[in-house]
Parts: sequence; C-alpha cells; structure tokens
Amino acid sequence: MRNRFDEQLCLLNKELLEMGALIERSIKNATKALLKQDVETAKAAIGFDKEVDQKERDIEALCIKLLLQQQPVAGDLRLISAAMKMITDMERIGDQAADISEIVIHLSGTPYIKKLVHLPLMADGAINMVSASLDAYVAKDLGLVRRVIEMDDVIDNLFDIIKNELIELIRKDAAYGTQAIDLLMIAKYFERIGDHAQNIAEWVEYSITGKHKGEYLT
Amino acid sequence: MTKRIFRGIFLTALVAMILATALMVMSLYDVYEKRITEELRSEAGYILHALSRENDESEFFDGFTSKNRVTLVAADGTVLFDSTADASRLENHANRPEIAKALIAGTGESQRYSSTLAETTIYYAVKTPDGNVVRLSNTRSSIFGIFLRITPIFIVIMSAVAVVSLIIARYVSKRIVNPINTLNLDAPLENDAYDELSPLLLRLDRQRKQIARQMQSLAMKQTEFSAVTGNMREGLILLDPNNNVLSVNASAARIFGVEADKVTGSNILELTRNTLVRETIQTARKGVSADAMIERNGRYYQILTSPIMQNGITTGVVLLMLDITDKYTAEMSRREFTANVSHELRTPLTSISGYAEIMRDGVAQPEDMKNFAARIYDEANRMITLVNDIMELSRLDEHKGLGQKTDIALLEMSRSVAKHLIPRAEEKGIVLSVDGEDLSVTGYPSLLNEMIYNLVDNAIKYTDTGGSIKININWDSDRVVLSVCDTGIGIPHEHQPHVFERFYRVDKSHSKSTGGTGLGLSIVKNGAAVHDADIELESEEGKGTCVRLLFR
Repeated sequence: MRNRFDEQLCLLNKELLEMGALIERSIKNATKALLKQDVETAKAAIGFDKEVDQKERDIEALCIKLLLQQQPVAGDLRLISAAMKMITDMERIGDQAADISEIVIHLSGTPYIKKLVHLPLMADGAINMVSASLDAYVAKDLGLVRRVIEMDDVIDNLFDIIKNELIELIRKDAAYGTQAIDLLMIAKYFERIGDHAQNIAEWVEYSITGKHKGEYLT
Repeated sequence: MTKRIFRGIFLTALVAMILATALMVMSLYDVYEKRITEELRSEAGYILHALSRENDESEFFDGFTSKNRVTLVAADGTVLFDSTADASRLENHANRPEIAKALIAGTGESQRYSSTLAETTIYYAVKTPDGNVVRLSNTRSSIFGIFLRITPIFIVIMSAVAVVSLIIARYVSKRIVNPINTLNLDAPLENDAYDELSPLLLRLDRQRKQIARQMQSLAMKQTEFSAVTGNMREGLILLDPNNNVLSVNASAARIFGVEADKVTGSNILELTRNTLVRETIQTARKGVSADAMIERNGRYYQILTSPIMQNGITTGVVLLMLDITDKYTAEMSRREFTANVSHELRTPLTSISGYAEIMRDGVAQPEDMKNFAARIYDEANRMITLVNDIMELSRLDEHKGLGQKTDIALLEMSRSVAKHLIPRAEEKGIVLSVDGEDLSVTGYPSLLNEMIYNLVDNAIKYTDTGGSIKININWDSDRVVLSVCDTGIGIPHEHQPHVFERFYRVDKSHSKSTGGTGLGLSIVKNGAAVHDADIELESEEGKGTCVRLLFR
C-alpha cells in the first residue's frame, strides 16, 4: 500500500517539475521574443500555454486521487496540498508568459519607443525567481525560499522605475502613449510572475515546515 | 513441529492402548467364562451331593441361597423352585436345551445371549436321582459390554496421555529444533548439530561461497566503474527507462550543482530542467544519439546523449557532458577575429582599388597622380603593418618563432625603443623620457621590444602636443615593473576592461587619423602572458594613462 503511495508521490514530484520546466521555457521564450521582437518565438510561447494548462489538470487529478484514495496525513498531506496550490500559481505564470507574447506580436511591427533597459532586468529577475522557487522545491532549501521572497522586492522596484519612465515619455509626447501602455502591461505581467513565484516559494516553505507565511495553518 | 510430534505420540499411544485393551479383554474373557462354568459345575456337584442325602428335594431348597441362580425343574418341565424368581410364575422349561440335554444325558450346558442387556447367561443342568433337573446359571457381560464399561476409564486415561504427549512433544521438538536454530550459517560446515543435516549444510556452504564470489566480483566491477567515472573530467549520468538517475559521477554532480548521493534514484528533472537536455533525452529514447550545448554558471558544456539498447529496446540513456568552454570561447573569438580582420583589410583595399581605378581610367589630373600614389602607398603600408601584427599575434597564440629566452636589460631596451620613437614624439611636441633602475628579466628580446614599442607608440598617438611620456623601470614588492605613463586623453572608464581586446577601439572615428591597427595592446597582452607578467591599467579621462607590466 505504502509502496504504491510512494510511487504516486514520486510521480507527483516529477509532474510538478515537468510543469515547472514548461513554465520556465514559456517565460524564457516570451522574454526572448520581447527583446528580439521575434514573432515566431512569441507564437511558440503562446502555444506552450496549452501544455501548461493540460499539465495543471493532470496534476490536479493526481492530487485529488491521492487525497481520496490514500487519505494522507502530516507531511504527505502538506506536500499534496502545497502542490495543488503551486500548480495554480504555475498556471498563472504560464498565462502571463502567453499574455506577454501576445503583446510582443502586437508590437512587432513598430520599433520600441525607447531602448529597453529595465524590462530585460525585470524579465531576468522573474525567470530567476521562478527557477529559484523550483530549485527550492527540489532541494527543500529554505534559504532559497527566503532569497526568492527578497528578489520580489527588486522586481517591484524595477516596476516602479519603468512606470515612472513611461509616464515621463507620455508627458513628453502623447503619441508614445499606445506603446507605453503596452510596455507597462508587459512590466506588470513580469511583476505578477514575480508575485506568483513568491507564492510558489511560500508553498514550498509550507510543505517543508508546515508554516505558511510564518503561521501554522490549522 | 510440536503438532506433528504430538500427533505421532498420541496416535501411537491410542493405538497401543486400544490393542492392549482388546487383547487383554479377549484373553481374560475366555478365562472368565471357563471359571464361571467350573464354578457352576462344582456347585451343581455340591447340590447333587446334598440332594442325595435329602429325601424330599423340594424341602432342600427351602431358604436356599446362592451366588448363582438355581432352578429345580421337574422331568415334565415344570419349575419347582427358582432362587431369584417365583417358581409358580415361570413357564415350562422342558424345551430349554440344557434341560433337555440333562434329561437325556444326565448333564447339559448352554449359553444364551441377551442383546438388550449385552449379557450372556451360562446354564448348567444336572439330573437329580429323583429324576428332576437342577439348573444353575450365571450371567456375565459380553465383550461389548465389557468395552462399554471400560470406555469412561479409557477416555480419562487417553486425555491424560494427550496432556503428557503434548508436554513431551513440546519438549522434544524444542530439543530437536534448538540445534537447528542455533546453526551458524556463516560457517555451515563448523556445526555439529545432526548428521542428517550435513547434506543441507554442505549445500548451504557451497551457495554461500558462490554468493560471496559473486558479490566480490560485483563489488570489484562497481569499484572499477566508480573509479573510472569518478575520476573522469567529463560528467556522466545514467538514466533508467523512467528517466530516473541510476548513476551520476562527481563531475556531473558538480556541473549541475547537486550532491551525487542525494539525486541518485530521483528524476532527471531534479538535476536540470533545461529544455535542451530533456529534448536530447527524448531523442535518445527513440534510439538515436543526440547532442546539445548548454550554458551553466558561465561555462559551456556539450551534452552527448546516447541510448542504451538491449535486444533492440531502449532500456536506458547515457548522458556525457564535456566542458567545451575553452574551445567554445576560442571558437567565438576566432570567428570574431576573422570577421574583424576581413573588415580591417577591406578598408585599405577599397581605397587602394579606388585610387588605382581612377589612375587606370586616366580620369586623374597628372598633378594628382603623385598624391594618389602616395595614398596607395600609405594604405598598402597600413595593410602590411596589419598583416605583420596579425602574424605576430598568431605566433604568440601558438608560442612559435619566439626565438631564445635570454636575460634582457630593460632599461637599455627601453632606451633603444625610445631612441626610435623620439623623432615622432618631438614631431608632436611630446617629451619622451626613460629612467629607473638597471634591472633585467628573462624573456624573448624581439617580443619584449615590440611590446615596449607598442606601449610607447600608443602613448604618443593618444597624447596631445605639450604632453609628456615617461618610461620607468623599478622594483615594486619583489617584482620588476616597467611602466609607461602619459599625460594623454586617457581611456573612459567603461572602455578600460576592453582595450586589450583585438581590434577594440575606444573611439571608432579616431582610428583613421592615428593609423593604428587596433592590435597593439592585444600584442602587449599576449606578450605579457608569454612572459608570465601581469598588466595593470590605470587611466583617467583627460589626465592620462599608465600601463604597468609586472614581471615575475
């Protein structure tokens, strides 16, 4: 009985990591598409979202099956419930990567109104956060969890900087407005990706320690 | 064990008991019957003897008592007396076999069996002198009756036997099993439990030796394998059909930043989620080798993935990781260099061909011809310088044609370089001076000469009129230091890390006017590497530049 359960937990672990790999790929592709204004890559990145959604359903089904059939307790229960929360965030990250790609396609015809300086930094930060949160899950590393949470502040700061820059641009010339808003949306999506990565990291912490945001869930 | 022994003992006891009882009962039964008959006969004898003294037989029997039943029957069969029943109520006995026999032969015997009482009655009849018949009878149980009577006792005895045999069985089985349980299986032949066990122990011993041999050879293979893979610089990972890690060597663990023991048995995803790696694994699963290049922590790795085939089925995947950082960066810089060289060579060639075309077509005025020829000559010279520099660099790359290492007096060499360059410096109104201690280093004279020349030449190029250039040789913390300092335009901070790169120019538009190839400092850097010397660059925009060569 326990053997079969362990096998299924292993499968869950594997599926989670696969989903993680999928979203990492999505964000990387979306970022690449954004920086190079590459429509093909952007289209591919949008296509990945379907895979991510399918993975989420698979994992959800697996988690529910585990909960019903094995009635896990303690650490196992935490792991499974954390997994269910994590996939929601991962799925949102996948969506946001697809959203970024769509804007990139929309922007592809026109050159950018300014050299992208902070946006690549934000993208890098977001990718690093997602990777680090997944690494934290793999290594069960609380130090990495904390680093992910710290990294989110950097991303938030970058978003503020970008927002102010774009406001300046619009003030200078209203014609910049259309693209400025699109770029702001992209920045916002990256900022959201960072938030979701932070959520994932917090659920990783919960699955290790039983504490979520420093509090025991009863 | 106990159960079996118990059953054996109990059954044996039961059978023995039954047989013994049956035999005993049967043999005793005969004796018993004979004794009863004897008794009847002798009593009949006594009665007959007594009757012969009496006159009236009926009177004799008044108040007669006996252990046996005594009956007096008249010759016609009428019962005259009975010791246990009322004679008048008894029926005619004439047809009883023993009485009939007695009337004819004088004595008669018979036995009758009563199935209801499980009893046999023995009769003995004697004819009296009066012509009557005296009959004596006694009852005894039948064999079956005896058995019936014995049964309760038998059951009691058998339960006692059962208890005793259970205890014995326990004890015996313990006695038997104990030596087997305490067998030393590590050395089967050193036991002396039972002779009957020796075939088993022999086989155990043989199998134990075989297992030990196999284990040893396995362990040896394992050690060989881990010795080979553990000392490999290349990373090696073996995957099972489910993409779980079977084995990961130290290098691979280092490349992916994991602990080898921890990840063994877990999914490859815990090592890396790199899409390229996963794609190569998927290709390998289909039975085709694949390769990919990944970047990790600033180093480049080529990943070769091959399927492990058994009977045409892919049973596993091998990943081999080669660190190709050096090769990759060398390849990159070579490509960049080639692109740069082509570009640098094309520029003078375009001018040369342009001027030559004008001259060939005769469009040029005769007075311009000299000017054009001079341009062609200049550009050709630039190309020669460039080609020389490139050749010098490639010689440095391959460490060939450098000549012999000798002791070089740096001060003397610097002075001779300065002597060559002073005219050019004076032309620009720059003061060039050499001073310092007379120190020497071991090195290649021509290369060192060129390095100093390039440094000073560069300084002259980037120093404006009225500036000064100082070459200085001295000791600094046990190292010989040669420095070339100018008061020129300096190098902006962001360009400083790159000035030693090939074809790198701070000011792209400046190159034409100064006539440099962009390779000078690169030669200095490579030359310094050949001499095992360090380079320090100190520069401030608008104030000047100092380049120091620190020799070992």
